Amino acid sequence: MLRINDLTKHYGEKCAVDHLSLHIRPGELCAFIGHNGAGKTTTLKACVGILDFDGGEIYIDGISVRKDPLACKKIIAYVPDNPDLYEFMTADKYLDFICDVYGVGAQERRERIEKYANMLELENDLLQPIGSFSHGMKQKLALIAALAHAPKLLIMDEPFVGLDPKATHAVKQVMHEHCSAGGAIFFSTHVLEVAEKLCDRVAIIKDGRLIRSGTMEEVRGDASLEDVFMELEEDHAGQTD
Amino acid sequence: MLGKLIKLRLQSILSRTTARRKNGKGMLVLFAVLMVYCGGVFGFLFYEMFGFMAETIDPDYHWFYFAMVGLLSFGISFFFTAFTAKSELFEATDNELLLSMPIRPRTILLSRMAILLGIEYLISLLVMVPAGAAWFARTGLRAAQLALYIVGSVFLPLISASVACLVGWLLARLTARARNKTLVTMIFSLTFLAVYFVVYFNAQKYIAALMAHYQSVADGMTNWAFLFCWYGKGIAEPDLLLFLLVTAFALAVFIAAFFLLGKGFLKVSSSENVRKRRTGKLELRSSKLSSALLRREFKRFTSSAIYMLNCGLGLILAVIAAVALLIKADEVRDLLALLERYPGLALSKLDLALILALLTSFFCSMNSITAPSISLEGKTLWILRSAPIPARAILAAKLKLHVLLCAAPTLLLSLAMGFALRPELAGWILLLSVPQMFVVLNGVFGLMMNLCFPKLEWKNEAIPIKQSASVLLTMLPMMAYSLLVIIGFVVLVILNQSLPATTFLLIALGAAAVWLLISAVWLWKNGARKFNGLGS
Repeated sequence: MLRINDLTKHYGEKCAVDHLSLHIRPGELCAFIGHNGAGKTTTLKACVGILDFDGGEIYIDGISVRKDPLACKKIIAYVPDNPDLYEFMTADKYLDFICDVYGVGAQERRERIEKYANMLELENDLLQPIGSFSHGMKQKLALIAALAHAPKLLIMDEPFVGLDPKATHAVKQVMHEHCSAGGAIFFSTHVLEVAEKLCDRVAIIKDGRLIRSGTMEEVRGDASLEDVFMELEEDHAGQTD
Repeated sequence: MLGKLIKLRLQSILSRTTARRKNGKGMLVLFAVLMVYCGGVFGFLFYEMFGFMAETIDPDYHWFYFAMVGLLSFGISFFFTAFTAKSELFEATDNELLLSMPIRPRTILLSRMAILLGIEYLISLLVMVPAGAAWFARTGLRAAQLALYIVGSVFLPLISASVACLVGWLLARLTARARNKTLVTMIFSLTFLAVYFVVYFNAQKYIAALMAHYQSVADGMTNWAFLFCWYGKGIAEPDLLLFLLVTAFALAVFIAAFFLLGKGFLKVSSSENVRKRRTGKLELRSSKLSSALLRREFKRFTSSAIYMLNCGLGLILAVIAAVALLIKADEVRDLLALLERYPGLALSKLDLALILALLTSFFCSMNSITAPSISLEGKTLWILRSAPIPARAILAAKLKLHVLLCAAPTLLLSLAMGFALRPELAGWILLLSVPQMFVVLNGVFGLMMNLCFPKLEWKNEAIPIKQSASVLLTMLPMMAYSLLVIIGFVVLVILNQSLPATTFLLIALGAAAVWLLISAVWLWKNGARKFNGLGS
């Protein structure tokens, strides 16, 4: 579903992503973990087609992000870490706009919006202006908008930040459902416990380089993901020094 | 603490001009030069006005002079600070942060009121200094009078600051509770603007009427503006008791306003989200991508008072001008006939139609709806960038909104011009088509400038609208074009007479058409690439 080959991205002199390669298959839920500034958001944005990259290639369902970005964008959805949405719109109008952009039919959009709004307990706030929403509510709305067009690949940057425990539970459920239905999810997180319990794949990035990736069992072995992550961070820091 | 808060606020105001700019100091100097220029213009205006007054009035009515100075100073200060009071006191972005700290809300309020008072002093100086200079230059310098005048200049702004704060509080309460905040802000802004224009255009008439009947006005003023009369008498006679009464009153009003506002400061400054909840059934409707994009652009435009006022005010003015033209059509027709018959000028109806078409175009150049439209995407740009929308469709929606909004008022103004001129068929065609070409040019050129000079990092939407290079670089060339055509017309056609008016005007029009063509080709070839490269 998502194939990243040798991705490289520089910001001036700084190498944000360094020859990163990763493959996520349909039905897989892959966590992307790393310290702050490791290159997670840059990688996710490059996959979505928001950020141009210097080297390598990204394929979504076999389609090159560089060569046919619009075709790729039709089958993916992105939820950023800070959901800056159109505050001049009401939530229902925003969802309508997103559905119009993706060409979602009237019946389907109603069913999906009602389903996910109920799951995330936002059904009573859909008529309110987005400007009056809290961070968590905006996060939920961004997620509903992402799911409203039934994407094949869902890319999320820190999806659990700002969510209450109930909403976090609902989001996990949604993520499972999505992957069970054949979709794939690639998301970044700092919550290692969630990644450990939720995902079947994990990729660890440090200073723009992918230092470990594979199935959860392959990566952590008998230890916890937190132990493995800390160990890898220290090893890598030693190598760099 | 109060001193620190005032310093902090001043730094925040200054940083709006200099922050994140390499040429911050340069901007500050430019700003200072602009302020000195404005001060000079207003100073000269008031010096002349009050000089005439000082020479005209009888010695028995000298108090009326100072009363009028006080009244004008109060009116102008209040007029220019009522909206500032609302934003400075109750909508400052750091209000919540400061209120969460162990600082008394009244101390925060006082620091805000002190800043506003500072602005009041700056504005009142524009009146007080030239009026004082005009008076003492004509009547001679008297120490007691001068001392009282200076002390009065210190106390009088306390009244205007207090009233501005109270009106600001009222505006904040109204907009916080209003469901349609934009509409309320628009109504208040347009009302203020209408009052400004009415006073500005009739100032000469009002002053003449005032000076013709100043004795009766002065006598009447003792009833409805006795405070300013006391102020005038206190300085002119001089009457120390009356003067002290006024200064004590000004101080008391300021203290009363402070305590009154202090009671509700916490409530008003943290009541942004108390608007009533919308109720009803969830209604979803599907539409085409182009319609959805256009609707989004329209919603953005109509939901921002600052966007509408700064980039669409010309639309309202065009309608007002068209109505005024229809009402005064006969007078305009006489004026045009005079030009037609002017010896040596020999302007045909077609020439006049071309001139009016260019005039309409210039008038409608004030609407730069597309110029800040890309910058306004700001942090929400990711939505468009991550969605499967061709960049050209996004740009087309922005252009379409501009044309849809501007075309009708421009057409109305063209029709009114045509009604006044009554040209031949060719004249009608030019009158109707040329301004529409400028509407498109303005939209296309605005988009082009915004793609070249985007400003996506902002916290307040006033920044991409009021302080962006793209808006400036769109409006300036449009206005410069009109100015060059007028200068060229005067020099080449009227003074030199070596070039027929029709030829000159058609060349000018052709230049604009070439400008449009180049801009459109650039937008078609580079627009999508530039848009897709934003934020990368």
